[in-house]
Amino acid sequence: MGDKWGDLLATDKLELAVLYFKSKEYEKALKLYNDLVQNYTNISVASLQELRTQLYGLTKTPVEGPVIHPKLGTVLDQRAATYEKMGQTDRALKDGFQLTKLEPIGCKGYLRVGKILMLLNREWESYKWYQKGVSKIEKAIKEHKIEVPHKLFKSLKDKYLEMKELVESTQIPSGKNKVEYSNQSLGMRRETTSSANSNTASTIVRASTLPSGSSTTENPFMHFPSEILQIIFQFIPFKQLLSCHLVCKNWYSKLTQIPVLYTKKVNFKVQITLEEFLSGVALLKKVLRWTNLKMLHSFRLRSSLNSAHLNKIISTIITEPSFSLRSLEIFDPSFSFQLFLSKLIRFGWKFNNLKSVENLRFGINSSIRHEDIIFELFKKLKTFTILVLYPEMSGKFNDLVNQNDIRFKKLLSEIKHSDYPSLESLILINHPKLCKDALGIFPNFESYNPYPMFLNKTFSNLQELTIVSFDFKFQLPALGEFFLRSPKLNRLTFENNAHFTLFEFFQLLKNYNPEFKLNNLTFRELSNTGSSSLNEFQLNDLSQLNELALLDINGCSLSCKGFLRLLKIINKSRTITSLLIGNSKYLKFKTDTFYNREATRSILSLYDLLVEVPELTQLDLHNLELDNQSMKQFSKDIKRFGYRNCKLTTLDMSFSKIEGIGLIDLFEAFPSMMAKREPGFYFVVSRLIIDGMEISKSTLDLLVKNGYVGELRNNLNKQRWQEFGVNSMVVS
Amino acid sequence: MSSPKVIIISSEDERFPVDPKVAEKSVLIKNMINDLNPDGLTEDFEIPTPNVRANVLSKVLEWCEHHKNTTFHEEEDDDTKKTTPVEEWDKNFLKVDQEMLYDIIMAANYLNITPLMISGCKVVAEMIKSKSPEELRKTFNIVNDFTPEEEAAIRRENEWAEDR
Repeated sequence: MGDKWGDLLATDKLELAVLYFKSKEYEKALKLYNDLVQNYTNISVASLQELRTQLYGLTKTPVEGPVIHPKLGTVLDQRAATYEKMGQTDRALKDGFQLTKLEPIGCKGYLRVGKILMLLNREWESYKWYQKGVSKIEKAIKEHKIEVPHKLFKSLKDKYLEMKELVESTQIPSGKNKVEYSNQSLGMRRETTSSANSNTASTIVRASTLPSGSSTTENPFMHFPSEILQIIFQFIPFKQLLSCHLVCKNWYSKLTQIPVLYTKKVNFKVQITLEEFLSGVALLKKVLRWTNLKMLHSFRLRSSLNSAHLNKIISTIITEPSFSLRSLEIFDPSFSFQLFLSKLIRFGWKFNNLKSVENLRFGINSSIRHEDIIFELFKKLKTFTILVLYPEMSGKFNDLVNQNDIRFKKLLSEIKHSDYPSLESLILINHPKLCKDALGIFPNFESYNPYPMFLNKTFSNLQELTIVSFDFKFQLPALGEFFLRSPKLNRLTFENNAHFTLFEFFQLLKNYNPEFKLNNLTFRELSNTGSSSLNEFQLNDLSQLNELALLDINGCSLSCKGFLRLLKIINKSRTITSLLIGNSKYLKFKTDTFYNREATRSILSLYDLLVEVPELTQLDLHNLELDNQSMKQFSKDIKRFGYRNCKLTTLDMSFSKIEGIGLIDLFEAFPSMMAKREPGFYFVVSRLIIDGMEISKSTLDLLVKNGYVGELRNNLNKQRWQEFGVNSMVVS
Repeated sequence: MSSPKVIIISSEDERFPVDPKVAEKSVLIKNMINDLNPDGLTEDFEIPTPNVRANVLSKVLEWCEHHKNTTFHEEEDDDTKKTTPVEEWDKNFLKVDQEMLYDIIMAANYLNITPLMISGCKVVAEMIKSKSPEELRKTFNIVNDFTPEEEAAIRRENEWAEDR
């Protein structure tokens, strides 16, 4: 564009833009000005100097300010005027400021800025800018003996004097630094709004709308600048935001010029058709015109109408050049890795808008293949989630991928021993029906691998690992090695996995002795036969668990003795605050049945538990054998431990046999006791959860009203615990 | 001698002397004080706010006075920010006529008092929430300037989204 012809072409464009402007076609004019600004700023300094001397007869470099195209100033000034006409004063002001920097001794910039500030009722700042312009230019005339366009300079001086009079007569400011301070206040510290615009003259706007005293509410769009509208509409749910487009043209255009409202979470509806998807994309493109980054933070596709629609939708996602995605989520029964890869192959591995993807969540059908390649393709990936949503197995998806593609072969050969340090979170959730034990038959290897993926990989910065419903047969050594390569792990979740018991997990930690220290451990066993008392473990074992805050061993195979031993081993530094031990066959508290017959097996007491875990705030005992007798014992245990010492705030005892009287006993909420209550001398919790249990409302009300329980949840319709598990997404 | 005050001057030149602690709820004023008096205030300090009328300024200062000991946390998480309801005191404080509400928001924006501005914006958002376009037009006295074709086109443009 440094050549003569290109420059002539640009000059034509400029003339056309002026014509559009004059005929009030501001959108069209703006588009041309945007092009021109881009053209003029893309020229190298050398070419600019050549243009200046040969085409415009100017000096190589201006007296003051950077080397720019001689027409850039004019274009910016006219674009500012266009913005002004379109009511986008903040953008207009930004161009004005830019202009004063590029042409520090040109009149246009100061005139423009002063005029816009005046429009915004910021007289003082307006005055200061006129003053700055006049003094700078006068100084330059003296120092460099240059001439400036007479007419323009005169009008700048006139404006300055005019404002001076106005400002002095209203004697607004006394602070010396007024201008700078006003500028500081401008704009909210939001990512997209420019630094301009503060107090849009409320009086002017009001005068032009409704007579005062009118009972209707004033249209916020006539009153607020876009940064305030942005805040207001961030509190409006997305679908309603879209429906606000229908109110009137003004709402439509102002809202769609605030990209932040649209780019944070883009959620497509379920069963979406290609047409609907494309209309969403079109709207997003319209909105993204106003940003430089063209970045959508989260992009979620739930499901499409059918596989034909999905095919085209995925093509659009990969090829659509107008925006790049930070997070991508695709859930669809027809979706598979093979489909995704085949699209990448088809488009020659060009997927620029996915290049900076950091979070991927794929809900796929059960044919997992070539998944390793993901890490080679997305080098910035931080979190990766695979959910196998459908248990039907089929090898037909394998045919989608062209195995002979050169780049594909090369990528496959590259994935061997490299480290993928960007990855922080890996979540692999298989369909429970595909877990070997649950299925009863061994799945067909051709199409489906029941073993956990990626255990041979290295993710040296991995912090979170979740593996659900896979088969660990012969996989434990690989997992042990994986642990050794993941020193930063701190959240670990295993649920519903075949051939992997809690005991085996502890053994793995003991034998491999990895470096990591866990903060959260969830280990929910698939099924267990026989309990373990952990006699094989010494007090100094399992150092990986010494900093645990949360331990969830729902349905565990530990005996009561084993459980207390575990707490002794891992909770030496008293870090555990949350315990979830519901649903176990082996953990028993004292009940009516145990009370009446001599129990030979050991039972747990809440007292022993609190002694081992004194910082406990959350205790989950759902689906355990608890009854009224247990509550009496709990009450005694808590009293013995000390009401003041007991830090429990959340207690879950859902799906138990406790009745109203049991709860009364637990809190000692007898009428005779209530009068004497003093803080620290009775048991209170801020949250009590007793789902799936029929208890009279008056009892529950009594507990809440008298301050024993802050918040009480008693949902009769809740199902058993599986509903709340991490794999609940795939169990319908 | 009493400790120095910050005197905030409204657009009508009405003077509002307040404790620096109260005035500094405005980040604009706080920065101004700190920059011009790096060693702390030794005498009364005047600040003109030519954009803010006296009745609005007095409301804003009432808010600052009430919250002078409140520490506000930047809510990083977007969802928390969206779901946290307006604090009870602020809610009652903002039960003013709509003109005053809008002016308070503008003043809070100008003076850079983010928590007040957020509360104000939430109150305005409540006026918009769960209203149909027709109800919104009624509420804000707006004339529908779309042609039926344009309206249909926008409806089509909206047929893809989900809230969660």
